[in-house]
Amino acid sequence: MGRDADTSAAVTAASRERIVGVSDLTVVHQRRGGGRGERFAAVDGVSLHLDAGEVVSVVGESGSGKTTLAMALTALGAHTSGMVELLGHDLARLSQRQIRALRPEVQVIFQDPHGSLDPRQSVKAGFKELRGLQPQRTSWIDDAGLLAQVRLSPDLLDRYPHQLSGGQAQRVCIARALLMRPRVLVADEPTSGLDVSVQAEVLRLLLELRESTGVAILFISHDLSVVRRISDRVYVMRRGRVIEQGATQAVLDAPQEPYTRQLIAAVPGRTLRTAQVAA
Amino acid sequence: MTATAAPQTAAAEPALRIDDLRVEARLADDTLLLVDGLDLDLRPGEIVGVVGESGSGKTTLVRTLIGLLDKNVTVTAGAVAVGGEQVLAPGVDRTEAVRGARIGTVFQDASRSLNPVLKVRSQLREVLKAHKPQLSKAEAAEKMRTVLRRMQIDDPERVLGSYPHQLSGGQRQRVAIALAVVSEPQIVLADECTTALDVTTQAEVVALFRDLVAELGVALVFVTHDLLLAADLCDRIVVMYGGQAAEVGPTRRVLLAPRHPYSAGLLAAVPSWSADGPIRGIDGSAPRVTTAFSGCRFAGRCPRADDDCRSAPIPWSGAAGTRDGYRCIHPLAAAPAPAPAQAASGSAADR
Ligand SMILES: Nc1ncnc2c1ncn2[C@@H]1O[C@H](COP(=O)(O)OP(=O)(O)OP(=O)(O)O)[C@@H](O)[C@H]1O
Ligand SMILES: Nc1ncnc2c1ncn2[C@@H]1O[C@H](COP(=O)(O)OP(=O)(O)OP(=O)(O)O)[C@@H](O)[C@H]1O
Ligand code: SF4
Ligand SMILES: [Mg+2]
Ligand SMILES: [Mg+2]
Repeated sequence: MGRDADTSAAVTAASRERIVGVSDLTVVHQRRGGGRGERFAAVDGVSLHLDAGEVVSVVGESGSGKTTLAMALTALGAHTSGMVELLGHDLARLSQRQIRALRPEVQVIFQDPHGSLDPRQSVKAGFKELRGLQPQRTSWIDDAGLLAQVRLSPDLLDRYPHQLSGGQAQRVCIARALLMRPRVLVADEPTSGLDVSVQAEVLRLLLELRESTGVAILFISHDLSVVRRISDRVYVMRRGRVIEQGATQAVLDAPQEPYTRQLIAAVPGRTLRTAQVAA
Repeated sequence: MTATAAPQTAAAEPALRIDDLRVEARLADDTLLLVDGLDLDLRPGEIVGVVGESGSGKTTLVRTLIGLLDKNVTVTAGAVAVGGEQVLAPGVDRTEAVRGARIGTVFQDASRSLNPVLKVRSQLREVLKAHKPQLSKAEAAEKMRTVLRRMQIDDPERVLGSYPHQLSGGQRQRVAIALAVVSEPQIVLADECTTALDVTTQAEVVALFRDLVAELGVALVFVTHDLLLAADLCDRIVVMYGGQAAEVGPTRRVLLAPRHPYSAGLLAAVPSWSADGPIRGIDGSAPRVTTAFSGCRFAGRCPRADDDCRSAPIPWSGAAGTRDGYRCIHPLAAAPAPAPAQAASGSAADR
């Protein structure tokens, strides 16, 4: 295990509100037909917390359980054992209805943007539906202004998802999440399909949002140079477990685990610079 | 099949040849130009990287080549030839015949590549049945396992027995790549196919592509927004902006000494590992390009723009006998730029 979670963040975090607390969480995916590999824990005994105003990243190789973890702690996916506290509620004790009432506070930017937009709904109709559900919460900005936040032009409002490029669809998903002014934002590879220029803009936007609304952001990414810039703390996952955690700089500049070192060493073209920083 | 794609034929017939391609989208009030005047040659065994801002027309290019454009989108000019054979030209559309058989495609949107109601095994088997019917059942099974294992899927049996929704994002993306390459087509179009992959797996996929290209003479069009990845993999780079090629050339040349101001800006925006300053993008955004647009598409954001840039279409400046060149009337100096590490952290842009 890595060093204690937050020696450096402890002072400030103490006064902050706990937004998500997860202890000893396990998610076992049921497989129909049983047979080989039947009991497979995609998330295996994970503990994690996220406070108001924090940006916390989860990194780890493909299949390590990042998305499964995110779905469980936002109550979009079930968990098998352990406890999830979301905005002060023990998820296990909430009814479906109570969970639904929490939804606007908890927004998720999904890994597959095209898959998470309704193909029969234009961008404008999608915004309208969200506004209808939460008129007050969403009144802070108009449609054109919202699109401008993610650097999209208002003439995309009439488009359907299949008429958008990959990066445009991804930004529409981000805009939809921002519209709700959530208290928790889970961003699952939110900038993976974006070119560097737009990516920079989106990251800046997330950080601004944190400043202005105190949203807590759980940021899932395989791009370690982005993680390094945006997050206060990092959890490193491997095969369903958290194998290292701590303040971002500490974990990424002086990783204790060989696995974390490997992840960092594989960053293309950045190895040299890492060595310079570490030295 | 692979004999025709052998490197010997390289000089004679490009695997893929695109001439003056133009693609338009009809909207309620006007017509957008999605791809405009695009030329490209791709030899067997060559890897071309297509990079450029979101919305610059990369996916449209890919979809045009395999005839899968949206209803309101049409090819209005230009020609495409695959292995010397006309596939797309005025009055000709043979894209359906090459799709899958000679051109394998990894779609940006994984849900286009994968069938949600079929297990991975059935999907791979269908591709092999259609394009490699001579393989025995056992050979096909072996091929499926091999291709998955080469993509760092350490549990191929489990993945073969899964439906797409039971896989992680990165696993789905690797299955999509497997579907495109398992039948060993002559051309592979890979559209942002590594975005959901961690760097270790990314490196493995890149190695797989390199092998395919070296062993089978596959010609690869690699669409990516990741310049560092393109630098690792590609022989040549096409930088797209607003539906046009802004710059085309050998990878090293384009990344070390970009001539087009947009290429330089793109390089400057690559996030650096150590710098702690603000993340820098290119200010402004791409214009809406209708058929009535004139002048340089980058003028609104270009530090070098003047009245000449805005008044007329910008001609292509290219070296004779190649398709390499750039579309700019005030290009950056051709002098060698700083080393790549520095270029990537922001000093390449001469502005
Ligand atoms: N059916 C359509 N009707 C109108 N416009 C469209 C249609 N399909 C795509 N477009 C527009 O064409 C432009 C090019 O889209 P394309 O998908 O080719 O971009 P891209 O370079 O692949 O971008 P990304 O990196 O975001 O995937 C975009 O501005 C997009 O909104
Ligand atoms: N519905 C499901 N049924 C069975 N197995 C699943 C299901 N969803 C995910 N898995 C498996 O659980 C593991 C963890 O998946 P998860 O999506 O959480 O990974 P991830 O860390 O997000 O990976 P990536 O970076 O590739 O998105 C994977 O091996 C995946 O195949
Ligand atoms: S033509 Fe003019 S506006 Fe266009 S890229 Fe060159 S200098 Fe800039
Ligand atoms: Mg995931
Ligand atoms: Mg695209």
